[in-house]
Amino acid sequence: MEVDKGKGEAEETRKVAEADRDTVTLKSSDGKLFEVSKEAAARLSTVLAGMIAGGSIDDNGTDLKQIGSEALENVVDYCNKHANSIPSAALISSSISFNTAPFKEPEEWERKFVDRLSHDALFDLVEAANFLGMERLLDVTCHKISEMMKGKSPDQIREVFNIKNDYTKEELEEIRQELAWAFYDD
Amino acid sequence: MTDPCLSSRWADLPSDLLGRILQLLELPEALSVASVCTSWSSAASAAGVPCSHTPWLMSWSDLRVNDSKGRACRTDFRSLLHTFKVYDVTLSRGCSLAWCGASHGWLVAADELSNLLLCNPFTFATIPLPPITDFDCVEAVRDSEGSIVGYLSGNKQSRIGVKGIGRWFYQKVVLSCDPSQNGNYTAMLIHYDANQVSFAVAGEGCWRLASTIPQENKDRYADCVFHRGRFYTLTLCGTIEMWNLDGSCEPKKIVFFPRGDGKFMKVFLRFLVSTPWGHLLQISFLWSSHCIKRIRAQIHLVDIVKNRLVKLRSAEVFQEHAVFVGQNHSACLSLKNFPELKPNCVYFTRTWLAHREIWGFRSQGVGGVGIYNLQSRVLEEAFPYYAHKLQDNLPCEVWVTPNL
Repeated sequence: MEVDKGKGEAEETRKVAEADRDTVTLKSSDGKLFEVSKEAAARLSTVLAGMIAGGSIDDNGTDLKQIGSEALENVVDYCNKHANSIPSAALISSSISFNTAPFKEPEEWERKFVDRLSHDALFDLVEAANFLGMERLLDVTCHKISEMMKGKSPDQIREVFNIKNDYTKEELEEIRQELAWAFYDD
Repeated sequence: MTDPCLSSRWADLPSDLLGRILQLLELPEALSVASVCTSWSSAASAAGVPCSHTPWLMSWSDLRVNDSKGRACRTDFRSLLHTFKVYDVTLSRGCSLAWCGASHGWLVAADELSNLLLCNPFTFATIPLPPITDFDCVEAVRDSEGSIVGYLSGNKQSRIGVKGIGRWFYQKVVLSCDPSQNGNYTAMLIHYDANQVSFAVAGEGCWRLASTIPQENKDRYADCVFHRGRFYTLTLCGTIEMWNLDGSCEPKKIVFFPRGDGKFMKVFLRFLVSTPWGHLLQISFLWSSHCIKRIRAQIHLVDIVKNRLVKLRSAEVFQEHAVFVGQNHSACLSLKNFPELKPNCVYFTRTWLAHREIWGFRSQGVGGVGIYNLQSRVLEEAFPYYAHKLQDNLPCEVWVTPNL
Protein backbone atom coordinates (compact mmCIF):
# COMPACT_ATOMS: atom_id res chain seq x y z
CA MET A 1 0.00 0.00 0.00
CA GLU A 2 1.40 3.31 -1.04
CA VAL A 3 0.95 6.03 1.57
CA ASP A 4 1.90 9.59 0.85
CA LYS A 5 3.37 11.19 3.97
CA GLY A 6 2.92 14.75 2.70
CA LYS A 7 1.73 17.19 5.41
CA GLY A 8 -1.16 18.79 3.61
CA GLU A 9 -2.52 15.45 2.63
CA ALA A 10 -2.59 13.93 6.13
CA GLU A 11 -6.36 13.98 6.42
CA GLU A 12 -6.73 12.55 2.93
CA THR A 13 -4.25 9.84 3.78
CA ARG A 14 -6.10 8.83 6.88
CA LYS A 15 -9.24 8.41 4.88
CA VAL A 16 -7.49 6.36 2.25
CA ALA A 17 -5.94 4.18 4.90
CA GLU A 18 -9.34 3.65 6.48
CA ALA A 19 -10.94 2.79 3.17
CA ASP A 20 -8.09 0.42 2.45
CA ARG A 21 -8.21 -1.38 5.75
CA ASP A 22 -9.31 -4.91 5.14
CA THR A 23 -11.34 -5.22 8.34
CA VAL A 24 -14.25 -3.32 9.82
CA THR A 25 -15.01 -2.88 13.49
CA LEU A 26 -18.50 -3.68 14.78
CA LYS A 27 -19.89 -2.71 18.16
CA SER A 28 -22.48 -4.83 19.97
CA SER A 29 -25.43 -3.49 21.95
CA ASP A 30 -23.40 -3.97 25.14
CA GLY A 31 -20.44 -2.03 23.77
CA LYS A 32 -18.00 -4.78 22.82
CA LEU A 33 -15.88 -4.36 19.68
CA PHE A 34 -15.31 -7.02 17.02
CA GLU A 35 -13.09 -6.98 13.94
CA VAL A 36 -14.36 -8.69 10.84
CA SER A 37 -12.98 -9.15 7.35
CA LYS A 38 -14.41 -6.38 5.23
CA GLU A 39 -14.58 -8.55 2.16
CA ALA A 40 -16.49 -11.31 3.96
CA ALA A 41 -18.81 -8.86 5.74
CA ALA A 42 -19.70 -7.17 2.47
CA ARG A 43 -20.19 -10.48 0.69
CA LEU A 44 -22.25 -12.18 3.41
CA SER A 45 -24.38 -9.33 4.76
CA THR A 46 -26.45 -7.06 2.57
CA VAL A 47 -26.79 -4.59 5.44
CA LEU A 48 -23.03 -4.37 6.12
CA ALA A 49 -22.34 -4.20 2.38
CA GLY A 50 -24.66 -1.20 2.20
CA MET A 51 -22.96 0.47 5.14
CA ILE A 52 -19.49 -0.10 3.70
CA ALA A 53 -20.50 1.19 0.29
CA GLY A 54 -22.29 4.14 1.84
CA GLY A 55 -19.32 5.06 4.02
CA SER A 56 -21.28 4.77 7.25
CA ILE A 57 -18.71 2.46 8.80
CA ASP A 58 -17.25 3.96 11.96
CA ASP A 59 -13.58 3.26 12.54
CA ASN A 60 -14.17 3.27 16.28
CA GLY A 61 -16.82 0.60 16.00
CA THR A 62 -20.02 0.63 13.98
CA ASP A 63 -22.96 0.50 16.37
CA LEU A 64 -25.21 -2.54 16.00
CA LYS A 65 -27.62 -1.79 18.82
CA GLN A 66 -29.93 -4.71 18.05
CA ILE A 67 -27.25 -7.37 18.46
CA GLY A 68 -25.80 -8.60 21.73
CA SER A 69 -22.09 -9.38 22.09
CA GLU A 70 -22.53 -13.16 22.09
CA ALA A 71 -24.52 -13.14 18.87
CA LEU A 72 -22.21 -10.61 17.25
CA GLU A 73 -19.21 -12.71 18.17
CA ASN A 74 -20.85 -15.65 16.40
CA VAL A 75 -21.65 -13.50 13.35
CA VAL A 76 -18.06 -12.29 13.16
CA ASP A 77 -16.74 -15.77 13.77
CA TYR A 78 -18.95 -17.07 10.98
CA CYS A 79 -17.81 -14.34 8.56
CA ASN A 80 -14.14 -14.98 9.29
CA LYS A 81 -14.53 -18.75 9.01
CA HIS A 82 -16.42 -18.27 5.77
CA ALA A 83 -13.63 -16.08 4.42
CA ASN A 84 -11.12 -18.82 5.21
CA SER A 85 -13.19 -21.70 3.95
CA ILE A 86 -13.68 -20.57 0.39
CA PRO A 87 -10.55 -22.08 -1.17
CA SER A 88 -11.14 -25.47 0.42
CA ALA A 89 -14.79 -25.49 -0.57
CA ALA A 90 -13.85 -24.75 -4.16
CA LEU A 91 -11.29 -27.52 -4.03
CA ILE A 92 -13.79 -30.03 -2.78
CA SER A 93 -16.44 -29.24 -5.31
CA SER A 94 -13.97 -29.35 -8.21
CA SER A 95 -12.62 -32.69 -7.13
CA ILE A 96 -16.09 -34.22 -7.07
CA SER A 97 -16.79 -32.47 -10.35
CA PHE A 98 -20.49 -33.31 -10.46
CA ASN A 99 -23.20 -34.51 -8.13
CA THR A 100 -22.63 -31.53 -5.88
CA ALA A 101 -24.98 -31.06 -2.95
CA PRO A 102 -27.94 -28.70 -3.40
CA PHE A 103 -27.00 -25.08 -3.01
CA LYS A 104 -28.74 -24.64 0.31
CA GLU A 105 -27.27 -27.62 2.12
CA PRO A 106 -24.89 -26.42 4.84
CA GLU A 107 -21.31 -27.54 4.57
CA GLU A 108 -19.67 -29.65 7.22
CA TRP A 109 -18.00 -26.74 9.00
CA GLU A 110 -21.23 -24.74 8.92
CA ARG A 111 -23.07 -27.62 10.54
CA LYS A 112 -20.45 -27.86 13.26
CA PHE A 113 -20.60 -24.11 13.68
CA VAL A 114 -24.31 -24.12 14.54
CA ASP A 115 -24.32 -27.51 16.28
CA ARG A 116 -22.19 -26.21 19.16
CA LEU A 117 -24.63 -23.37 19.93
CA SER A 118 -27.07 -23.41 22.82
CA HIS A 119 -30.74 -22.88 21.96
CA ASP A 120 -30.53 -19.30 23.21
CA ALA A 121 -27.41 -18.58 21.19
CA LEU A 122 -29.02 -20.09 18.09
CA PHE A 123 -32.08 -17.91 18.57
CA ASP A 124 -29.92 -14.78 18.92
CA LEU A 125 -27.86 -15.75 15.90
CA VAL A 126 -30.82 -16.31 13.61
CA GLU A 127 -32.25 -12.95 14.65
CA ALA A 128 -28.89 -11.26 14.09
CA ALA A 129 -28.54 -12.89 10.68
CA ASN A 130 -32.03 -11.70 9.84
CA PHE A 131 -31.25 -8.15 10.95
CA LEU A 132 -27.98 -8.03 9.01
CA GLY A 133 -29.50 -9.58 5.88
CA MET A 134 -27.15 -12.56 5.90
CA GLU A 135 -28.85 -14.97 3.52
CA ARG A 136 -26.33 -17.76 3.81
CA LEU A 137 -26.21 -17.65 7.60
CA LEU A 138 -30.02 -17.62 7.63
CA ASP A 139 -30.00 -20.73 5.46
CA VAL A 140 -27.60 -22.45 7.82
CA THR A 141 -29.38 -21.47 11.05
CA CYS A 142 -32.88 -22.15 9.69
CA HIS A 143 -31.65 -25.52 8.44
CA LYS A 144 -30.42 -26.30 11.93
CA ILE A 145 -33.75 -25.29 13.47
CA SER A 146 -35.66 -27.37 10.92
CA GLU A 147 -33.48 -30.36 11.84
CA MET A 148 -34.54 -29.87 15.44
CA MET A 149 -38.19 -30.12 14.37
CA LYS A 150 -37.97 -33.08 12.00
CA GLY A 151 -39.74 -36.27 12.93
CA LYS A 152 -41.34 -34.76 16.01
CA SER A 153 -44.92 -34.46 17.20
CA PRO A 154 -46.23 -31.05 18.29
CA ASP A 155 -45.71 -32.07 21.92
CA GLN A 156 -42.12 -33.02 21.29
CA ILE A 157 -41.48 -29.76 19.43
CA ARG A 158 -42.96 -27.80 22.35
CA GLU A 159 -40.58 -29.62 24.65
CA VAL A 160 -37.51 -28.95 22.51
CA PHE A 161 -38.23 -25.23 22.19
CA ASN A 162 -39.86 -24.82 25.60
CA ILE A 163 -43.08 -23.45 24.16
CA LYS A 164 -46.32 -23.48 26.10
CA ASN A 165 -49.39 -24.81 24.37
CA ASP A 166 -51.45 -21.62 24.40
CA TYR A 167 -54.55 -22.96 22.72
CA THR A 168 -57.63 -22.55 24.89
CA LYS A 169 -59.59 -25.59 25.98
CA GLU A 170 -62.30 -24.65 23.49
CA GLU A 171 -59.82 -24.38 20.64
CA LEU A 172 -58.28 -27.71 21.54
CA GLU A 173 -61.72 -29.30 21.65
CA GLU A 174 -62.46 -27.80 18.24
CA ILE A 175 -59.26 -29.24 16.82
CA ARG A 176 -59.97 -32.58 18.42
CA GLN A 177 -63.44 -32.67 16.92
CA GLU A 178 -62.17 -31.79 13.50
CA LEU A 179 -59.66 -34.56 13.80
CA ALA A 180 -62.17 -37.14 14.94
CA TRP A 181 -62.03 -39.42 11.99
CA ALA A 182 -65.19 -41.40 11.56
CA PHE A 183 -65.20 -42.17 15.20
CA TYR A 184 -68.60 -41.98 16.69
CA ASP A 185 -68.91 -44.01 19.84
CA ASP A 186 -72.06 -43.72 21.78
CA MET B 1 -33.85 -19.68 35.14
CA THR B 2 -36.65 -20.33 32.72
CA ASP B 3 -40.16 -20.33 34.01
CA PRO B 4 -41.88 -23.55 32.91
CA CYS B 5 -45.20 -21.70 32.76
CA LEU B 6 -43.90 -19.22 30.24
CA SER B 7 -43.00 -19.93 26.66
CA SER B 8 -39.42 -19.34 25.64
CA ARG B 9 -38.62 -16.67 23.07
CA TRP B 10 -39.02 -19.27 20.34
CA ALA B 11 -42.77 -18.73 20.42
CA ASP B 12 -42.09 -15.18 19.23
CA LEU B 13 -39.77 -16.18 16.42
CA PRO B 14 -40.46 -13.66 13.62
CA SER B 15 -42.98 -15.16 11.23
CA ASP B 16 -40.80 -14.66 8.15
CA LEU B 17 -38.10 -16.75 9.82
CA LEU B 18 -40.56 -19.46 10.78
CA GLY B 19 -41.82 -19.37 7.19
CA ARG B 20 -38.28 -19.92 5.99
CA ILE B 21 -37.87 -22.88 8.32
CA LEU B 22 -41.20 -24.36 7.20
CA GLN B 23 -39.93 -24.37 3.61
CA LEU B 24 -37.33 -26.89 4.69
CA LEU B 25 -39.87 -29.28 6.18
CA GLU B 26 -42.13 -31.81 4.57
CA LEU B 27 -45.87 -31.41 4.88
CA PRO B 28 -46.49 -33.57 7.99
CA GLU B 29 -43.69 -31.81 9.84
CA ALA B 30 -44.97 -28.40 8.79
CA LEU B 31 -48.45 -29.33 10.04
CA SER B 32 -46.89 -30.46 13.28
CA VAL B 33 -45.07 -27.14 13.69
CA ALA B 34 -48.24 -25.27 12.82
CA SER B 35 -50.10 -26.76 15.76
CA VAL B 36 -47.44 -26.01 18.39
CA CYS B 37 -48.90 -22.68 19.51
CA THR B 38 -51.13 -19.91 18.22
CA SER B 39 -48.33 -17.63 17.03
CA TRP B 40 -46.66 -20.41 15.06
CA SER B 41 -50.03 -21.38 13.69
CA SER B 42 -50.63 -17.94 12.21
CA ALA B 43 -47.07 -17.81 10.90
CA ALA B 44 -47.63 -21.19 9.23
CA SER B 45 -50.88 -20.02 7.65
CA ALA B 46 -49.10 -16.96 6.33
CA ALA B 47 -46.38 -19.19 4.93
CA GLY B 48 -48.98 -21.20 3.03
CA VAL B 49 -49.00 -24.35 5.13
CA PRO B 50 -52.42 -25.87 4.44
CA CYS B 51 -53.58 -26.29 8.05
CA SER B 52 -56.56 -28.35 7.05
CA HIS B 53 -57.90 -31.44 8.65
CA THR B 54 -59.91 -32.47 5.63
CA PRO B 55 -58.77 -35.84 4.37
CA TRP B 56 -55.61 -35.87 2.30
CA LEU B 57 -55.15 -38.22 -0.59
CA MET B 58 -52.00 -40.24 -0.25
CA SER B 59 -50.54 -42.07 -3.23
CA TRP B 60 -47.26 -43.46 -4.44
CA SER B 61 -44.86 -40.96 -5.87
CA ASP B 62 -43.19 -41.52 -9.20
CA LEU B 63 -40.03 -40.31 -7.58
CA ARG B 64 -38.33 -43.03 -5.63
CA VAL B 65 -35.13 -41.68 -4.30
CA ASN B 66 -32.33 -43.27 -2.39
CA ASP B 67 -31.43 -41.36 0.67
CA SER B 68 -28.07 -41.62 2.34
CA LYS B 69 -29.26 -44.34 4.70
CA GLY B 70 -30.81 -46.54 2.07
CA ARG B 71 -34.10 -46.70 0.33
CA ALA B 72 -36.67 -44.10 1.17
CA CYS B 73 -40.15 -44.24 -0.26
CA ARG B 74 -41.72 -41.06 -1.43
CA THR B 75 -45.43 -40.53 -1.40
CA ASP B 76 -47.55 -37.73 -2.77
CA PHE B 77 -50.10 -35.94 -0.61
CA ARG B 78 -52.90 -34.00 -2.24
CA SER B 79 -55.40 -31.72 -0.56
CA LEU B 80 -58.98 -31.26 -1.70
CA LEU B 81 -58.51 -27.55 -1.03
CA HIS B 82 -55.76 -27.12 -3.63
CA THR B 83 -56.30 -29.97 -6.03
CA PHE B 84 -53.47 -28.90 -8.30
CA LYS B 85 -50.79 -29.00 -5.60
CA VAL B 86 -48.70 -32.03 -4.71
CA TYR B 87 -46.71 -32.39 -1.50
CA ASP B 88 -43.83 -34.85 -1.35
CA VAL B 89 -43.76 -36.86 1.83
CA THR B 90 -41.05 -39.37 2.68
CA LEU B 91 -42.40 -42.30 4.62
CA SER B 92 -40.35 -43.53 7.51
CA ARG B 93 -38.27 -46.49 6.51
CA GLY B 94 -40.25 -48.90 8.61
CA CYS B 95 -43.32 -48.68 6.41
CA SER B 96 -42.00 -48.33 2.94
CA LEU B 97 -43.59 -51.15 1.07
CA ALA B 98 -47.34 -51.20 1.04
CA TRP B 99 -50.32 -49.96 2.95
CA CYS B 100 -53.76 -51.39 3.43
CA GLY B 101 -55.75 -48.94 5.49
CA ALA B 102 -56.02 -45.68 7.36
CA SER B 103 -57.98 -45.23 10.59
CA HIS B 104 -58.03 -42.22 12.89
CA GLY B 105 -55.10 -40.68 11.07
CA TRP B 106 -52.97 -43.83 11.34
CA LEU B 107 -51.79 -45.50 8.21
CA VAL B 108 -51.62 -49.29 8.26
CA ALA B 109 -48.51 -50.33 6.38
CA ALA B 110 -46.36 -53.40 5.84
CA ASP B 111 -42.76 -53.27 6.98
CA GLU B 112 -39.62 -54.82 5.51
CA LEU B 113 -40.59 -58.27 6.83
CA SER B 114 -44.17 -57.85 5.57
CA ASN B 115 -45.45 -57.46 9.13
CA LEU B 116 -48.12 -54.82 9.62
CA LEU B 117 -47.55 -51.70 11.64
CA LEU B 118 -49.52 -48.57 12.40
CA CYS B 119 -47.73 -45.46 11.32
CA ASN B 120 -48.86 -41.91 11.86
CA PRO B 121 -47.48 -39.99 8.87
CA PHE B 122 -48.04 -36.71 10.69
CA THR B 123 -46.25 -37.47 13.95
CA PHE B 124 -43.96 -40.30 12.76
CA ALA B 125 -45.09 -42.52 15.61
CA THR B 126 -45.32 -46.24 14.85
CA ILE B 127 -47.06 -49.12 16.63
CA PRO B 128 -46.33 -52.70 15.52
CA LEU B 129 -49.16 -55.15 14.86
CA PRO B 130 -48.68 -58.91 15.32
CA PRO B 131 -46.45 -60.68 12.75
CA ILE B 132 -47.51 -62.33 9.52
CA THR B 133 -46.30 -65.70 10.81
CA ASP B 134 -49.37 -65.79 13.07
CA PHE B 135 -51.40 -66.85 10.06
CA ASP B 136 -51.59 -70.59 9.50
CA CYS B 137 -51.33 -70.12 5.77
CA VAL B 138 -47.94 -68.37 6.06
CA GLU B 139 -44.76 -70.12 7.03
CA ALA B 140 -41.43 -68.39 7.52
CA VAL B 141 -38.32 -69.66 5.77
CA ARG B 142 -35.25 -69.04 7.92
CA ASP B 143 -31.55 -69.13 7.26
CA SER B 144 -29.06 -70.97 9.44
CA GLU B 145 -28.97 -68.05 11.86
CA GLY B 146 -32.71 -67.96 12.28
CA SER B 147 -33.36 -64.80 10.27
CA ILE B 148 -36.41 -64.81 8.07
CA VAL B 149 -35.40 -64.91 4.41
CA GLY B 150 -38.74 -65.68 2.80
CA TYR B 151 -42.21 -67.10 3.28
CA LEU B 152 -44.21 -70.06 2.06
CA SER B 153 -47.90 -69.41 1.63
CA GLY B 154 -50.91 -71.65 1.08
CA ASN B 155 -50.17 -74.59 -1.14
CA LYS B 156 -47.61 -72.67 -3.18
CA GLN B 157 -44.35 -74.41 -2.59
CA SER B 158 -42.20 -71.72 -4.09
CA ARG B 159 -40.66 -69.21 -1.74
CA ILE B 160 -41.96 -65.64 -1.63
CA GLY B 161 -39.62 -62.77 -0.80
CA VAL B 162 -39.83 -61.22 2.67
CA LYS B 163 -41.07 -57.94 1.25
CA GLY B 164 -43.08 -59.37 -1.64
CA ILE B 165 -45.79 -61.07 0.36
CA GLY B 166 -46.78 -57.82 2.10
CA ARG B 167 -47.78 -56.35 -1.24
CA TRP B 168 -50.64 -58.77 -1.84
CA PHE B 169 -51.42 -60.56 1.40
CA TYR B 170 -53.29 -57.72 3.14
CA GLN B 171 -56.39 -56.08 1.71
CA LYS B 172 -57.78 -53.86 4.44
CA VAL B 173 -57.35 -53.04 8.11
CA VAL B 174 -59.68 -50.92 10.24
CA LEU B 175 -59.23 -49.98 13.89
CA SER B 176 -61.86 -49.77 16.61
CA CYS B 177 -60.43 -46.51 18.01
CA ASP B 178 -57.50 -44.15 17.92
CA PRO B 179 -54.55 -46.23 19.19
CA SER B 180 -52.83 -43.13 20.57
CA GLN B 181 -55.77 -42.36 22.88
CA ASN B 182 -55.70 -45.60 24.81
CA GLY B 183 -54.19 -49.00 24.36
CA ASN B 184 -57.49 -50.84 23.97
CA TYR B 185 -57.83 -50.82 20.23
CA THR B 186 -58.70 -53.81 18.09
CA ALA B 187 -57.63 -54.21 14.49
CA MET B 188 -59.75 -56.06 11.94
CA LEU B 189 -58.03 -57.39 8.85
CA ILE B 190 -59.32 -58.65 5.50
CA HIS B 191 -56.55 -60.71 3.99
CA TYR B 192 -55.19 -63.53 1.84
CA ASP B 193 -57.43 -63.63 -1.23
CA ALA B 194 -59.89 -61.13 0.26
CA ASN B 195 -61.54 -64.23 1.67
CA GLN B 196 -60.28 -64.23 5.26
CA VAL B 197 -60.99 -62.06 8.28
CA SER B 198 -58.74 -61.87 11.34
CA PHE B 199 -58.62 -59.76 14.47
CA ALA B 200 -55.81 -58.54 16.68
CA VAL B 201 -56.59 -57.14 20.12
CA ALA B 202 -53.94 -54.77 21.45
CA GLY B 203 -52.04 -56.44 24.23
CA GLU B 204 -52.81 -59.98 23.05
CA GLY B 205 -50.09 -59.74 20.44
CA CYS B 206 -51.50 -62.20 17.92
CA TRP B 207 -53.80 -62.42 14.93
CA ARG B 208 -56.89 -64.57 15.41
CA LEU B 209 -58.45 -65.96 12.25
CA ALA B 210 -62.20 -65.51 12.44
CA SER B 211 -63.61 -66.44 9.06
CA THR B 212 -62.69 -67.94 5.71
CA ILE B 213 -64.76 -67.88 2.56
CA PRO B 214 -63.88 -71.10 0.68
CA GLN B 215 -61.70 -70.26 -2.30
CA GLU B 216 -64.03 -71.99 -4.74
CA ASN B 217 -66.79 -69.61 -3.64
CA LYS B 218 -66.94 -66.60 -5.96
CA ASP B 219 -67.72 -64.18 -3.14
CA ARG B 220 -65.05 -62.05 -1.45
CA TYR B 221 -64.92 -59.47 1.32
CA ALA B 222 -65.42 -55.96 0.01
CA ASP B 223 -65.25 -53.78 3.11
CA CYS B 224 -65.22 -53.68 6.90
CA VAL B 225 -66.16 -50.99 9.39
CA PHE B 226 -66.37 -50.31 13.12
CA HIS B 227 -69.87 -49.13 14.01
CA ARG B 228 -71.37 -48.51 17.45
CA GLY B 229 -68.96 -50.78 19.26
CA ARG B 230 -68.99 -53.64 16.75
CA PHE B 231 -67.10 -54.65 13.64
CA TYR B 232 -69.05 -55.39 10.47
CA THR B 233 -67.94 -56.93 7.20
CA LEU B 234 -69.59 -56.75 3.80
CA THR B 235 -69.02 -59.07 0.86
CA LEU B 236 -69.30 -58.36 -2.83
CA CYS B 237 -72.49 -60.42 -2.96
CA GLY B 238 -73.99 -58.21 -0.27
CA THR B 239 -73.76 -60.46 2.76
CA ILE B 240 -73.16 -58.55 6.00
CA GLU B 241 -71.58 -60.07 9.08
CA MET B 242 -71.66 -58.55 12.56
CA TRP B 243 -68.79 -59.60 14.79
CA ASN B 244 -68.86 -60.34 18.47
CA LEU B 245 -65.43 -60.27 20.07
CA ASP B 246 -66.07 -61.16 23.64
CA GLY B 247 -62.86 -61.69 25.50
CA SER B 248 -61.55 -65.19 25.50
CA CYS B 249 -64.14 -66.75 23.15
CA GLU B 250 -63.47 -67.19 19.48
CA PRO B 251 -64.86 -64.32 17.42
CA LYS B 252 -68.52 -65.04 16.67
CA LYS B 253 -70.50 -63.63 13.80
CA ILE B 254 -74.14 -63.01 13.07
CA VAL B 255 -74.83 -63.20 9.36
CA PHE B 256 -77.34 -60.96 7.60
CA PHE B 257 -78.52 -61.46 4.01
CA PRO B 258 -76.62 -64.75 3.52
CA ARG B 259 -77.75 -64.90 -0.09
CA GLY B 260 -76.65 -61.37 -0.81
CA ASP B 261 -78.72 -58.88 -2.79
CA GLY B 262 -78.41 -60.45 -6.22
CA LYS B 263 -76.25 -57.67 -7.64
CA PHE B 264 -72.94 -59.48 -7.61
CA MET B 265 -72.52 -59.31 -11.37
CA LYS B 266 -73.10 -55.57 -11.45
CA VAL B 267 -71.15 -54.49 -8.41
CA PHE B 268 -67.97 -52.55 -8.92
CA LEU B 269 -67.24 -51.44 -5.36
CA ARG B 270 -69.08 -51.80 -2.07
CA PHE B 271 -68.61 -49.95 1.19
CA LEU B 272 -70.02 -49.74 4.69
CA VAL B 273 -70.33 -46.34 6.38
CA SER B 274 -71.07 -45.55 10.02
CA THR B 275 -72.86 -42.22 10.32
CA PRO B 276 -72.70 -39.76 13.23
CA TRP B 277 -76.45 -40.18 13.72
CA GLY B 278 -75.96 -43.88 14.36
CA HIS B 279 -76.93 -45.48 11.05
CA LEU B 280 -75.03 -48.14 9.20
CA LEU B 281 -75.17 -47.47 5.46
CA GLN B 282 -74.18 -49.62 2.55
CA ILE B 283 -72.93 -47.89 -0.59
CA SER B 284 -72.82 -49.94 -3.77
CA PHE B 285 -71.26 -48.69 -6.96
CA LEU B 286 -72.91 -50.54 -9.82
CA TRP B 287 -72.25 -50.68 -13.51
CA SER B 288 -75.02 -49.18 -15.53
CA SER B 289 -75.32 -48.82 -19.27
CA HIS B 290 -77.74 -45.91 -18.77
CA CYS B 291 -75.31 -43.55 -17.11
CA ILE B 292 -72.72 -41.48 -18.91
CA LYS B 293 -69.83 -42.70 -16.82
CA ARG B 294 -71.47 -46.12 -16.67
CA ILE B 295 -71.48 -46.12 -12.93
CA ARG B 296 -74.17 -45.32 -10.40
CA ALA B 297 -74.34 -45.50 -6.66
CA GLN B 298 -77.04 -47.00 -4.48
CA ILE B 299 -77.36 -46.32 -0.79
CA HIS B 300 -79.09 -48.64 1.63
CA LEU B 301 -79.72 -48.30 5.30
CA VAL B 302 -78.75 -51.54 7.00
CA ASP B 303 -81.48 -52.23 9.52
CA ILE B 304 -79.94 -54.87 11.76
CA VAL B 305 -82.90 -55.10 14.12
CA LYS B 306 -85.43 -55.84 11.40
CA ASN B 307 -82.90 -57.70 9.28
CA ARG B 308 -83.60 -55.68 6.14
CA LEU B 309 -82.09 -53.18 3.76
CA VAL B 310 -83.92 -49.91 3.20
CA LYS B 311 -83.14 -48.12 -0.03
CA LEU B 312 -82.54 -44.43 0.61
CA ARG B 313 -83.47 -41.56 -1.68
CA SER B 314 -80.42 -39.55 -2.60
CA ALA B 315 -81.77 -36.22 -1.33
CA GLU B 316 -82.04 -37.38 2.25
CA VAL B 317 -79.12 -39.70 2.56
CA PHE B 318 -76.26 -37.77 4.08
CA GLN B 319 -77.92 -34.88 5.94
CA GLU B 320 -75.30 -32.25 5.09
CA HIS B 321 -72.40 -34.63 5.30
CA ALA B 322 -69.82 -35.89 2.84
CA VAL B 323 -68.63 -39.47 2.85
CA PHE B 324 -65.10 -40.79 2.31
CA VAL B 325 -64.69 -44.42 1.35
CA GLY B 326 -61.93 -46.57 -0.05
CA GLN B 327 -58.93 -48.16 1.56
CA ASN B 328 -59.51 -45.94 4.61
CA HIS B 329 -61.93 -46.55 7.45
CA SER B 330 -64.99 -44.95 5.91
CA ALA B 331 -65.90 -41.53 7.27
CA CYS B 332 -68.96 -39.35 7.28
CA LEU B 333 -67.87 -35.75 7.81
CA SER B 334 -70.15 -32.86 8.69
CA LEU B 335 -70.13 -29.89 6.36
CA LYS B 336 -70.34 -27.68 9.43
CA ASN B 337 -66.82 -28.73 10.35
CA PHE B 338 -65.65 -29.11 6.77
CA PRO B 339 -67.41 -26.41 4.75
CA GLU B 340 -65.07 -26.96 1.82
CA LEU B 341 -66.55 -30.38 1.11
CA LYS B 342 -69.45 -30.92 -1.24
CA PRO B 343 -72.74 -32.04 0.28
CA ASN B 344 -74.32 -35.36 -0.64
CA CYS B 345 -71.16 -36.57 -2.26
CA VAL B 346 -69.22 -39.79 -1.95
CA TYR B 347 -65.47 -39.27 -2.20
CA PHE B 348 -64.04 -42.63 -3.11
CA THR B 349 -60.85 -44.37 -4.04
CA ARG B 350 -60.65 -47.77 -5.61
CA THR B 351 -59.71 -50.63 -3.38
CA TRP B 352 -57.98 -53.95 -3.85
CA LEU B 353 -61.06 -55.11 -5.72
CA ALA B 354 -59.89 -53.14 -8.72
CA HIS B 355 -56.67 -55.13 -8.70
CA ARG B 356 -58.36 -58.42 -9.23
CA GLU B 357 -58.02 -59.26 -12.87
CA ILE B 358 -60.05 -62.42 -12.48
CA TRP B 359 -63.07 -60.22 -11.99
CA GLY B 360 -62.62 -58.76 -15.42
CA PHE B 361 -64.65 -55.63 -15.70
CA ARG B 362 -63.84 -54.52 -12.19
CA SER B 363 -60.26 -53.87 -13.12
CA GLN B 364 -61.18 -51.41 -15.84
CA GLY B 365 -63.09 -48.23 -16.24
CA VAL B 366 -63.47 -45.74 -13.49
CA GLY B 367 -60.48 -43.60 -12.57
CA GLY B 368 -58.71 -43.83 -9.29
CA VAL B 369 -60.21 -41.07 -7.22
CA GLY B 370 -63.72 -39.86 -7.80
CA ILE B 371 -66.45 -37.70 -6.33
CA TYR B 372 -69.91 -39.07 -6.93
CA ASN B 373 -72.77 -36.64 -6.42
CA LEU B 374 -75.81 -38.56 -5.26
CA GLN B 375 -78.28 -35.89 -6.26
CA SER B 376 -77.05 -35.15 -9.76
CA ARG B 377 -75.60 -38.67 -10.23
CA VAL B 378 -72.56 -37.06 -11.74
CA LEU B 379 -69.15 -38.60 -11.26
CA GLU B 380 -66.16 -36.32 -11.42
CA GLU B 381 -62.45 -36.65 -10.85
CA ALA B 382 -61.43 -35.42 -7.40
CA PHE B 383 -58.03 -34.31 -8.69
CA PRO B 384 -58.15 -33.15 -12.30
CA TYR B 385 -54.39 -33.25 -12.70
CA TYR B 386 -53.92 -36.60 -11.09
CA ALA B 387 -53.28 -39.42 -13.49
CA HIS B 388 -54.27 -42.63 -11.82
CA LYS B 389 -51.96 -45.49 -12.61
CA LEU B 390 -53.15 -48.93 -11.76
CA GLN B 391 -50.25 -51.18 -10.98
CA ASP B 392 -50.55 -54.57 -9.44
CA ASN B 393 -47.67 -54.26 -7.07
CA LEU B 394 -48.49 -50.79 -5.76
CA PRO B 395 -51.08 -50.00 -3.12
CA CYS B 396 -54.19 -48.01 -3.99
CA GLU B 397 -54.57 -44.37 -3.10
CA VAL B 398 -55.91 -43.80 0.39
CA TRP B 399 -57.63 -40.95 2.26
CA VAL B 400 -55.72 -39.95 5.40
CA THR B 401 -56.70 -37.33 7.96
CA PRO B 402 -54.06 -35.67 10.12
CA ASN B 403 -54.15 -36.86 13.70
CA LEU B 404 -51.67 -34.73 15.59
